[in-house]
Amino acid sequence: MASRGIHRDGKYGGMRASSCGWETIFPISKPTPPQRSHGSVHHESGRHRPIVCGLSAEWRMVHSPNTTTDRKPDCESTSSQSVEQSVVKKYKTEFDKYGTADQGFNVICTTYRLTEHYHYWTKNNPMNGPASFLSRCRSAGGTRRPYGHSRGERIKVTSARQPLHREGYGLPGASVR
Amino acid sequence: MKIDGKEMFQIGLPIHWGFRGIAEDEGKTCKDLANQLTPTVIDPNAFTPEFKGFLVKIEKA
Repeated sequence: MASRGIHRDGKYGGMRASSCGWETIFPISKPTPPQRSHGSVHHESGRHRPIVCGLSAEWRMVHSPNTTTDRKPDCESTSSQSVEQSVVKKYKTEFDKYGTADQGFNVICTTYRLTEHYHYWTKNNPMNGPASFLSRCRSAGGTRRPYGHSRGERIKVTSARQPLHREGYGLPGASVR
Repeated sequence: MKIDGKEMFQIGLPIHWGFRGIAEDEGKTCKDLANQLTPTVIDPNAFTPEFKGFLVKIEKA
């Protein structure tokens, strides 16, 4: 916490308005009782002193002498406690349809990226055109077997949203037995 | 792959295909986009699509 020019001896080293952009003093009505010090930043005025550094948007709560230093996060994150903490969010739209295994949707499907759009080495690869193929569906032989289609056949993949026609594409080394 | 004692099957759909584009392939089946199947699920913070796994049925076309 002794960064940005603040010394642990309770005096300002270089943390002044000129170096931080601006600073504000909030007087406290009841002084904080002395507690164990963790090498915190002290100020001789005995006031809370949040300091905002203009360039880095960095917050520091500077307490009275001999108290611990309470710190806010360096920057406010959208993942902080103020927003929803769910992992994913399901929107209620006309596309918001999920099938269940009972409805016949009993195959797990995943989509994946073949190339990175904006990488130089993929964007400027002269083999991109010849190497690109039509729409495919990658499935292992064990997956194709119970559904009665073989490698290279066209299949129809249907989700709860709508059907999609794709050409079956086997994993390397996978074959229908 | 077995999950909870039940055999589950998995397929993968690349979101990239072809070099001619949707307009030139109009009327053919290859114009279908993988994202037409996927539900609208996103990461609420970064708004990144989170449909890494969803349920489909497959059959011979």
